[in-house]
Amino acid sequence: MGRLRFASLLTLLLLAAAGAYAGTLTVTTVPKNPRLNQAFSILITASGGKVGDLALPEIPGLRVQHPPSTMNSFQYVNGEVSSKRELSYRAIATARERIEIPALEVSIDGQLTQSAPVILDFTQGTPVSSAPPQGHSAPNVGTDPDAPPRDDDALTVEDCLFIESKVDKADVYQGEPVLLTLSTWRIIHREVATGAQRGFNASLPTTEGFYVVNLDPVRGQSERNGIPYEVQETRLLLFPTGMGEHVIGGWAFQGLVQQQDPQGFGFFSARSGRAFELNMRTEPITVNVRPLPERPTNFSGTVGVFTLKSSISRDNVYQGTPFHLDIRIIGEGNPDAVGAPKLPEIAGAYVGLPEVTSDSQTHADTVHVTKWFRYAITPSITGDLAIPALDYVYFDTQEAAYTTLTAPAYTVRVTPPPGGSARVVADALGAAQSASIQVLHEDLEQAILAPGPLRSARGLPLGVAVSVAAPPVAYLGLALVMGRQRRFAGNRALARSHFAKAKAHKRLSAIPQAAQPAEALSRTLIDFVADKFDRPAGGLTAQDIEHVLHEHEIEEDLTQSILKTIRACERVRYASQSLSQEEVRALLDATELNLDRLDAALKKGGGR
Amino acid sequence: MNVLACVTALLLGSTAYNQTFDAATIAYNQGDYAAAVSGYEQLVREGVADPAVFYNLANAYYRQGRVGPAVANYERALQLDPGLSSARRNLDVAIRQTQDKLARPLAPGWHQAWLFWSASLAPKTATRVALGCWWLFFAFLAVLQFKRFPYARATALLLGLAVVLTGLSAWAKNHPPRLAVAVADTVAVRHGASEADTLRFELHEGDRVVVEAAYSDWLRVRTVDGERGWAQANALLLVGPPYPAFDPAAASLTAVSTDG
Repeated sequence: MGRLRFASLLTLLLLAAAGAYAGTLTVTTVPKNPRLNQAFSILITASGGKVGDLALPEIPGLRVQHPPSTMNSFQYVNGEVSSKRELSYRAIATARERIEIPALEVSIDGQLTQSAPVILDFTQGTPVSSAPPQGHSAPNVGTDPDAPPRDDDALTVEDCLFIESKVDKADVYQGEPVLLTLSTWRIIHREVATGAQRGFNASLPTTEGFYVVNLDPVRGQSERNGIPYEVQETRLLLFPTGMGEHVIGGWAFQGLVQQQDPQGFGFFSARSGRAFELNMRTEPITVNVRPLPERPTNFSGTVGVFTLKSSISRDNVYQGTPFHLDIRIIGEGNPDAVGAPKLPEIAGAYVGLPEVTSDSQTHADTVHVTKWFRYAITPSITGDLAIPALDYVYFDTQEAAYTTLTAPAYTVRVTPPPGGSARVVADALGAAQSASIQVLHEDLEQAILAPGPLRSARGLPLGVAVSVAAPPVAYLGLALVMGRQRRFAGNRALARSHFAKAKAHKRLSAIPQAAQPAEALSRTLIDFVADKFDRPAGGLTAQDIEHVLHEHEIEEDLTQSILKTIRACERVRYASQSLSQEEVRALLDATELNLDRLDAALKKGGGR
Repeated sequence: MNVLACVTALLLGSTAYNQTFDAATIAYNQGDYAAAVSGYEQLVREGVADPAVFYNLANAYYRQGRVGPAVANYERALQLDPGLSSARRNLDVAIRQTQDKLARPLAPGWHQAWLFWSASLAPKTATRVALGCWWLFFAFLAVLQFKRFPYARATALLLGLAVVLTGLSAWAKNHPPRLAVAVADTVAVRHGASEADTLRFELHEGDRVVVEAAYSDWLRVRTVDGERGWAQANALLLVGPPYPAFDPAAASLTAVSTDG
């Protein structure tokens, strides 16, 4: 009996131990209740000793990504090895229905283990068409917000991305703000990516005739026709500066809608499909700006909703010592159009121009403005200085009527300055001079009786023009002359050649009076050629001249003419003949002609 | 035009202008300020730009109680002769009669930085100085053609710099910033060049502004403290040059509505 009990107990213990290490198979989803079109994970966990092959079968209505990610872990407890195996599948349901993940079976330590089935309810949510989006990049200004929700698969490109522009009011008073909202609607859908086209630079619509204040942009999510969107709003506060119809231009946006590959899940694994370009433009918006109603005479020009606060820095001052009157206009409106208060006349005091400080901050749909006007007031009398109450009239856009704000009256006690009374002088900033006061001569200096000769000042005086032009012109001439002289001084050949013609002509002019004109003519011609070609003048013969001219490739006709003239002169000289006037004239003309021809030939580059 | 005719015109013209001046001055001294204004304005219309004419004209306007044109003409006199101390004193007196006592807008920054030394020079003097430097520069260059000196290049550079500075000064003196003076009791300065535009601020008679731009019969003006806006041209008198005559009728017709 005792042995039987021991065996039973041992068996029970063994069974318990075996049961403790029995395999388990569980199937769960993360999140627990996934939605339609939402990617989720199916976790299959098998734990035990030895786990057999495990896989998720095809499940109708469910797109499952294969292969799964796997994780294996092992434990060693009391000599026994146990393992745990996890399979994680990414899946998504695209049909609105209830889907069952059936019970799975796996062998764990040789024993078949089964999991419990998992029911997933996807009957809520908007289905997505498996076909590509229809339509093309036609201009779009948004879908009708009043249309019934979509419940079909026909999602168009225009539904994925559209823009809107709107104003909160289209009929305002001059100076009353208009809120312009520019919205971009981008679909929230895992198979659709939207954005701006590459290279597109967004610009705001034209807002001519408005003073513009930029408000903070707003981002959020919204739904239209049952489709979820991410909405981004750019907001501008427009203050019309003129009256009549003002047009806010159309807003242009170049968008891109790209279909994502259905097989791709998650950010890193999505593959891009077809892309559609959308060139969108909103219609212009006309705002009618009405003139303000008949304005009171003391209207400050300010439009909006404002309050007024005032204060004085001191209520007891010395004569001639300035104090400040601060007036603050606080409210909502165009910060640039808050007019200065008109101070009433303050008898017995000098009032300087106000020091103006402005602070404006955008908040929600409006602009908060605080504008300080600080007046420096310098009393010139003693006693009680009365600062009258001040009325500030502005046009209240909420009341649509003129409203008067009032700064209270103040009384300031003015006492004589230490050191006795004196008439003070205040400058534009209101600072007063104390002890050394200058008494002003309010009367004028006398007129000028003898001005000197009066002239009309019309037109640029000729003298000035000549004075400006003369020096550079004279200097230029001098520089040219000096430059030429330096060139000649440094280049003898150039100088000889340059002056050769003038020298020769000068000598020719003296020929008629020469004792031996033929010799003089001959020498003149020879010296001319020598100067031109930088040869030693003395001892040159006709043959040398011929050689020089041929060397420099002077045309033969000219060369022979020159030689003929020289030889003619030599014959006369050697024959000791005397020439008649006509003969001298003829030779002179021939020589002159040859000189000029040779000079011209050299200038033209006829010789080298 | 030959030289003789030119000289004759100059002499005769000069004589005629002086006669008009003398007549106007006599009228001023007798207390007939309207006649004095008329005489001096005639000289201005004929192109006589003399500090004495503008100074006396300003005095006559001041006596008539017209502070705006008085300030404008004092400014003209001081532009032509910065050393005319009586004009400066009378201008101070006139400014004190204005409501806002606005200071004169400052000259551009570069002007203050580089040309402060020529503040007291009259335009003619500045021109003569510039011409003198111009002549000296070229005379020095001409001397260098004959003889070289040590530091010749540095001297030429310095003279060149003097030419640039004096030339700039002469140009600036003869092309001063376009000043204008409000001649109506109240001048509305608006956001835009239109009566329908919102009022930005107001000027009062005698206030001095810089004219930055013109459009139709509107001028964009800037005050000494940087406020800008558009005002009707006939409510302002340009200090010049050129020197337009003051038209009291046009100024009085200017819309003086100060409503926004």
